[in-house]
Amino acid sequence: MSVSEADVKKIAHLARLSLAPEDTARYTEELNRILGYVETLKRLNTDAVPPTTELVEPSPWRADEAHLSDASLKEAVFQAAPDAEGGAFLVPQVIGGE
Amino acid sequence: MADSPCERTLTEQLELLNRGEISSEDLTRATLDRVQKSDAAIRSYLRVSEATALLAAREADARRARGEKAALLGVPVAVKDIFLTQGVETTCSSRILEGYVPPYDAHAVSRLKAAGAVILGKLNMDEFAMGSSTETSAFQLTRNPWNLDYIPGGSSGGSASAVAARQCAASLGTDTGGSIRQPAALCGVVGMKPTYGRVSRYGVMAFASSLDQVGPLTRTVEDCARVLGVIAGRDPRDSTSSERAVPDYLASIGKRVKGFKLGVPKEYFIPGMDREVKAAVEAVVSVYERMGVSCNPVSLPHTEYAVATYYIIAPAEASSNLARYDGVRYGKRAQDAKTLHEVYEKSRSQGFGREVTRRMMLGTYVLSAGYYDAYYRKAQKVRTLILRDFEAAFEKVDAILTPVSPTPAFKIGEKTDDPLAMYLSDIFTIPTNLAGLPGISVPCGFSSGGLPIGFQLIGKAFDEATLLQLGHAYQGETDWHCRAPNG
Repeated sequence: MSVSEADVKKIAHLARLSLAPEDTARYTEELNRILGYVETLKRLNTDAVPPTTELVEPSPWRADEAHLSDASLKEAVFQAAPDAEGGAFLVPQVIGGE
Repeated sequence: MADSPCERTLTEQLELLNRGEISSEDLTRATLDRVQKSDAAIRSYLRVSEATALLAAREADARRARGEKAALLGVPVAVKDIFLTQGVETTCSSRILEGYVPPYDAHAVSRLKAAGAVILGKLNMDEFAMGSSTETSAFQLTRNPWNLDYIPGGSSGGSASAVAARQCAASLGTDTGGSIRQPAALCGVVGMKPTYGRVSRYGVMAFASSLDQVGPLTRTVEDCARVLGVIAGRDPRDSTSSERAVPDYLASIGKRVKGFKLGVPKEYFIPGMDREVKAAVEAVVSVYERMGVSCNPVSLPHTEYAVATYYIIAPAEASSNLARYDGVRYGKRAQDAKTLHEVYEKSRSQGFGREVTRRMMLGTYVLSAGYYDAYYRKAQKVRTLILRDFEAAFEKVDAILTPVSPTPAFKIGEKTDDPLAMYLSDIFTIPTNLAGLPGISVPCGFSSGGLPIGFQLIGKAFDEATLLQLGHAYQGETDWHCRAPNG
């Protein structure tokens, strides 16, 4: 399987990345080289092999309990944000407008 | 320089402190002085926190004066910039997190602090741990202390170069496909990736959650055992962290190794690997045999598929984990974004470098509608085959002996234009992550050009103690780990 420049633009959109036009060709070429390499897995018949979904040992279960953090931590979280006000993250208007 | 206390190993530094021959404050000042003199050339550190380090050192001295005992009381260490550190900027070597100051400490960092370690600063790495040479850092190039024209390995390159250059007694790194063991080998220090689940990843920026693990880089295996004992153990904040009790690693390391069985897999001695690396690792076999350890051929037949498997699973998981960097909750937001969609796209495109962008696109593609079965599910099936290879081998042997990297360190810039060549440099470390097993890298020689070479021991799940015991025994018979780079 290989990807076209149109595919790469679509992938970039899905990943919320915008590529400069000159980069699209380069990423297309690089992705195709890597995808070509991972094709080697096709040589293996894995019809009867289960996928690995858990490693080493199952994760221990725990009760789904809420733990309250202290108020100063909340303050610090919002301070680290690019734009926040009154305990909320600010973003450009999403609904309505022009 | 030979009489500087930072020349001493972590264990020796603890002895000096315990005997009252040096204070933590003086030791910390000597190490900070070493950093100041050497780091203009090597550039291991992204940030040095001199004032808080000296405060912590004085606190350690006060604790010791009160008669308190703690495993790392007063010893200067440093951590990869992937670990959150409360009040200290943490960037993962990415522009997208420039200026981000975390509100809390990673679990491993709080364990170090509780054990009395003095944290000197944050170490350079490949951006979001994606790379094998530390060249994808958005901020600086780190150089190999043994030869400044060469890379230190990666992604925990700063963690390895700092320990090699005696800029700290020990450091923490993370290992997703070799990112502790490969730079440790290339810088001539010890590095361990513990079993998946042995150390909590809480507060460690996630790259590939089914592969990531935290571990120490140190000068000796004994030092490694000390640090691992501090950071290992259950933490309810990382649901994958194991409830198994942490053994006393120091108790096991002095024991005799006679009678142990090592496996040597033929698939790890491939055509095209460096001649001197091959010879150095083969010489390790002789050292073990002299100690009464038998070395037996074993086969791990699916090894050749590990890199391809990894380059599906790791980017897929990364594309999901890194979706959180969207210019809303932390780090930098693009200034020219007018809509929410533009906030996402512009912040991410301006904030991420080429390697991270490439891997996120690869990961998004292999998870996209219609391709999941062909790539991700297929890779998870091959992963099962790789796991079974190890299970079969461990029925016959106690640990597996391999090279760490097919070559010594390469030159800065040599592989930056060829992502696939860079990926293949992790061919001997990736299978361990896919199987969740522990691996340790130990120095075992030098190339004719004077660059370090390391060997790897891979163990059964949660059997770090055997790896440490075997590694320590090797260091008792050899002195590669006693050599220091110039300057």
